[in-house]
Amino acid sequence: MHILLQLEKPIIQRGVWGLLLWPYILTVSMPLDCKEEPGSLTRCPSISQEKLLDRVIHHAELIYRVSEESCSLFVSNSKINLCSFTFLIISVLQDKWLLHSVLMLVQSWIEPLVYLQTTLDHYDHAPEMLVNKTKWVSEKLVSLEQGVVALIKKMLDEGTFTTTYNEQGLFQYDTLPDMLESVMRDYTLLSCFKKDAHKMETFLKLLKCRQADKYNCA
Amino acid sequence: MLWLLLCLLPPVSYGRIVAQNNAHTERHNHEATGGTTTRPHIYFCRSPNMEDFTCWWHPLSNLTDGEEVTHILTYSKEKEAKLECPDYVTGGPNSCHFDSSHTSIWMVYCLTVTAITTHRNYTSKQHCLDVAEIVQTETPVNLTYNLTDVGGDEMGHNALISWTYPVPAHVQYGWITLVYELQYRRITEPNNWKVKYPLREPQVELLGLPVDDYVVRVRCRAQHSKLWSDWSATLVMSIPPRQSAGKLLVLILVTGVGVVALLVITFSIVLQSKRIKEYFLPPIPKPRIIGIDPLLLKKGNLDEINRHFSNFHSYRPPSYSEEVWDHVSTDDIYLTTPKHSSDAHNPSESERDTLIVPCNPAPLEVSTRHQLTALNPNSYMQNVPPYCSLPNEAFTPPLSIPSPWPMPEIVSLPRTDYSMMEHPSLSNTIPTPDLTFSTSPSPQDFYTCVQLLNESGEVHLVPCLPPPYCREFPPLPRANLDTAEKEEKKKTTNHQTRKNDGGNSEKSEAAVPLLPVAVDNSG
Repeated sequence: MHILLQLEKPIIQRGVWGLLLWPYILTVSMPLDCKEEPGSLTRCPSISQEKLLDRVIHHAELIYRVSEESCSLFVSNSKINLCSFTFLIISVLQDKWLLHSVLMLVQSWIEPLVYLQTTLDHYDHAPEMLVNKTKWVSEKLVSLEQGVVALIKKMLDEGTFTTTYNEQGLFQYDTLPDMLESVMRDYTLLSCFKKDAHKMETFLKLLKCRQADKYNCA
Repeated sequence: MLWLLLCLLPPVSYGRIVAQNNAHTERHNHEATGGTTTRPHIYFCRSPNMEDFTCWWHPLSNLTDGEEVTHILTYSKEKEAKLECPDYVTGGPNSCHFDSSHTSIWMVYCLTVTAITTHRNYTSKQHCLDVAEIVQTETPVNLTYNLTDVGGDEMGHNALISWTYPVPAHVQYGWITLVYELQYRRITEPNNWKVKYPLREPQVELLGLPVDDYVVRVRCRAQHSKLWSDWSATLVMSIPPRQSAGKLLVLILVTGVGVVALLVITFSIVLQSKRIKEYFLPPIPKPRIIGIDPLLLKKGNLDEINRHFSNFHSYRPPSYSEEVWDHVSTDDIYLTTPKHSSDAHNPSESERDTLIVPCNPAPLEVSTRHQLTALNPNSYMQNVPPYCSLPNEAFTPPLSIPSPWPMPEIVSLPRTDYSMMEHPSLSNTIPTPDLTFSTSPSPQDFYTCVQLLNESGEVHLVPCLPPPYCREFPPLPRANLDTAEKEEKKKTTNHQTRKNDGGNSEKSEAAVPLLPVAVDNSG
């Protein structure tokens, strides 16, 4: 036993030092406050990828849940499944495509939701809960877009391409259509958005799963 | 030496981690102490809802009199350009507030405060932060308590403590998930806090609190954050000492039930005192002779009686067959005189022959044949050696002998098997039984008497006793036939017990059938 110890002493020594120093390693690698070194951003880099992904997923989950609740607030007379302006993703094999499709989904929905918000404001008797929820979803969607952009920048090292917040928008708000027709259109919009939100959430969760275990994700 | 290092390093590193964690709490208290004065220092930043945040700094304090100083906070988000603080006012003096449009949870903020004086600028240390990491929620408010169980038990009372989060908008839609921690202690124990953690709901029920006064406080934090909110205002909760109504009720019930039970037992003892006394002190029985219970005889329990009497010598239980008794009337009865023996020989006669039973001491021949079997030639007689019945041959000798008194005749009913023996009516004086008969020597002074006549023609004969007994046959005058019959009728219709009595008495007299009684017995 003692002889063995003598022979493998270097290895053991390294191992022991590694064991001893692990608290140091932890404290050093985890910048708790990002305030140790003034003026040096290298010590305090950006938010880690895992955290970004978690937050993005958190956003997507909440957006989906709230949009689902908003949909239920509508009295659904018709079940219109025409989600003509949804983005159908064909290939989801790569992480890159996942991220890009999520980004495209998010970006495509920002404006319609703003429009929905304005139409709801125009109603006289729209339920307040619905208005609040729609507003909240619209805000969080913008935040989600930023998050996905940051994630893409981190994961894929690509440039940023955030949407320019177009004030004018594609939709014209001058003409107010018939009330019922408008309500139906709003409901259709919201239900389609709900489906896309679910898609976003699923893609992001798949992405996260792949980060952990590449071959074990459904 | 290696082991020495091994022992030293972990505590040191742990100490460093702890120091980092305590830095935040220190920052908040730094204001009082003053901190470093050579340059400004951002000591605390917090975000209540992850949508906006505020940072505070210590201003430059090393000021000469009359010197003016302004502080400017600049920040940059990761690698972007530096920007100035958008709001210096909302957070109070020496603060910078970033509203939701200026807050991003996707990037790290690095802030710097610069103190500009007339002479020079003092730049503080850069402070970088991640907005999601500095989330410190609001302090819970409206801490109240309710005693849930009014009755209470030995352990004490249960108290339901509840509070509210002051800004519900932060937690709506699940944006922030809160975790609460509650601490309580007795007033008399200042440092013995009991902790309830983690709590997801803004309420908790404390069970089994002993009677005392308690101090309660609560705080919360965002689930993903490490920062706790401040402690809420302490609540003084007093558990009242109270006589539990439940205990009293139970006591009353138990005593009531006990008293009622005691009364019932007493009454039952008093009423049944005699029986109880007899049970415990049984009375000494009076002397009694073991014998037949008269009740047995009344009830007609023949089996019992037979059992009792079987102890006696030569007792045979009477066998009672079911016979049909016809009502006897005088018209039906034909009295036949003893016929000539020659007539008796003829078994073809439809009518039954009568038998004469003389009770004279003359020895008679014993014969197995008898005319009574006319109806049923197959019947036979039991083994009774001496007869009272007389065979044909034996008929003549008795006829030759003058009977001192009228010979008893067997009266038979033509249609039935009923027959009785009787003496013909004696118009003459009944000659007194002459004991002289007994003087004539006869080695076999046996007579048989018909005891029983069955339907099948079977005749049960029993030996007659010597003449003294035969003399005892009560002579029945013809005129008295009806009465005798009536008597017998009466007797037959009487209870079985009387028959039994007669039978018993007869049996006790060595099985000598008295004629009327014999008839009875034949029933």
